[in-house]
Amino acid sequence: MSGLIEFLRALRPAEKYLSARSVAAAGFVLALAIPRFNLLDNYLQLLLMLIGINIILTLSLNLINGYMGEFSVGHAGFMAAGAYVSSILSVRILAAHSPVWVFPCAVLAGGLVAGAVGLIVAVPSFKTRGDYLAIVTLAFSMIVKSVIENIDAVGGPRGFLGMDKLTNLPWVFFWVVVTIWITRNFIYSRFGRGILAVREDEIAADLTGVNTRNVKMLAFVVSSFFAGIAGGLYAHLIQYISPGSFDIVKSTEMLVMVYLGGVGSIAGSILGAASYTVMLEALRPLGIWRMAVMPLLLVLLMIFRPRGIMGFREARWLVPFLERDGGAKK
Amino acid sequence: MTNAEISGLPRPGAAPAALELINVTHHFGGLRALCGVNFTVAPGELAGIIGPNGAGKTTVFNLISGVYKPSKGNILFHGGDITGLRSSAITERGIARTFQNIRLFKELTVLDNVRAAHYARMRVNPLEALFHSGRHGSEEKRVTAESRDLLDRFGLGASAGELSRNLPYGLQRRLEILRAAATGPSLILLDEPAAGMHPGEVEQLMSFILKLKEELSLTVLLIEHQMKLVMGMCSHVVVLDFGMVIADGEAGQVRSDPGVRKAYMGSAK
Repeated sequence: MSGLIEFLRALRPAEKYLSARSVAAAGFVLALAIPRFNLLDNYLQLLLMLIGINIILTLSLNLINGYMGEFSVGHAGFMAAGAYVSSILSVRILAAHSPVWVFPCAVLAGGLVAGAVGLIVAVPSFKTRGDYLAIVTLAFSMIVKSVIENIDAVGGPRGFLGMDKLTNLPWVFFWVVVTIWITRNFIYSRFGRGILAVREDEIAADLTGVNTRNVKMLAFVVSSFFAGIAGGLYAHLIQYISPGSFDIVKSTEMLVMVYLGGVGSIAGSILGAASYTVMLEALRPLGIWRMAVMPLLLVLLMIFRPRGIMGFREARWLVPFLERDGGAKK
Repeated sequence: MTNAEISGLPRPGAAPAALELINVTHHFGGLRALCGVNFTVAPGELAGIIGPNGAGKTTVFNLISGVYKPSKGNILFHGGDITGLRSSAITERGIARTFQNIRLFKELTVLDNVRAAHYARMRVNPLEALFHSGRHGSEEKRVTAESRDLLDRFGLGASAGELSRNLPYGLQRRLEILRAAATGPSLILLDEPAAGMHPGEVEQLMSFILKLKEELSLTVLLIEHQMKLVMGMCSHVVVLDFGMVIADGEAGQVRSDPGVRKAYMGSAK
């Protein structure tokens, strides 16, 4: 871990040449070129796509657990909603030989349904103050799992398949950029300062005029929308989903990525998702034991670096120009 | 002194009081914290609430600012009933407050503490915020400029980019007051602003509060234990003891009131 931090520190002088736009443009060229000219083998391409999907999931969860300071442990439920809705759309309703724009629409629809489900979860949870969100989201993800298990039309516990492999590197990269952009916009806005104020002191936030219930619901809907998007991308990458893919283990994975990378940081979410995904692959020789590494990692993180690699700090190039140096620019 | 004079009731035909508590009673379970509290604060006044520990002073603030709903009674703000409204709605109407133990947004910068307080007055809808479009840009610029201006005028401009938890204690107190002022209030409630300050700092704080009151034309109601501050600044003092108003009037009168002396000193000399 400290080696990684040293490495990042060494990179710092290079950071000033980065801008969000140039990184996005260069990344997009790469994302198009890699599959086209087979610059990387299929396994590495799959790994890159998984990293992308995990970045979306981590940012989604970080919005709630990091920026807003509430605790959600059921984000796999929103991912499941997005995965199933987009898969049903692309298999049952939109024909297999449909044009290229159909896939993003299916993914978007999955995200919107997940966002709507998020709103339904948020309304009762945010009527009260305090730590109820953890319990409500845990219960919610269990409900989602057992509901899907009991609907035969979507395969029940056997799972659902038949999706084409429509997820590719350019699409994943596109959604990662959208997620980063929207999340950043949200944080550096009226509502973003609202959720940060809620995290710092909810009563004081209320008494400085922040409509705490509204900002919390808005953040939760945005967060569950992106979890749904990630679900849709995942379903069309693996081409098989089952209720078991979206259980508490999946939610725990997201938690590990958030707390590894850093709470309240976009750069941290990217780092956390990437390093965790790579680490899990590197540990494959351990077999089933690698699943013991994950909870252990979470425990060690909480003890030695509770805020993660980038906790509450942001890479400069990800901050809107006027907000750099704590908004010190005039 | 007649009863009407003591409670400062408005003369018929006068403008409504900035704040009026009518028979406000509050219980915590079986514990009676306030019992039939009546007092008014006139617009532009600098009023103080004093009383021994546990007299119910902070409870009065919590009721006015909507942290609790009173068990009985009404609270009027410029003639309008605000009893039982949400805290954020009360703040939006123009009552802001600070806390006895400072409650800043610690991990946010000084500037962001003040900008967060503009929430209710910003005209940006969620879609504009998510896409940084429409009114977002102009509103951000306006709020940032106004917040900077406020910090500059009241001596915190140099620390705008610092995390608020890193400020020295005295500046944290001031920042909390400025954050309250940034919500655009007409009435500001200060809960023991001078707590933990030495005499020199108290002097500075007094002129800070007076300057703020003048420049933003505020009505101020404060709770304070430091008699120097209360008697030096407040034109109107309300004394609470065991949840009841035992004196209400000009500072000089209240000081010589036998009931007040008894509550503070334990005997009526």
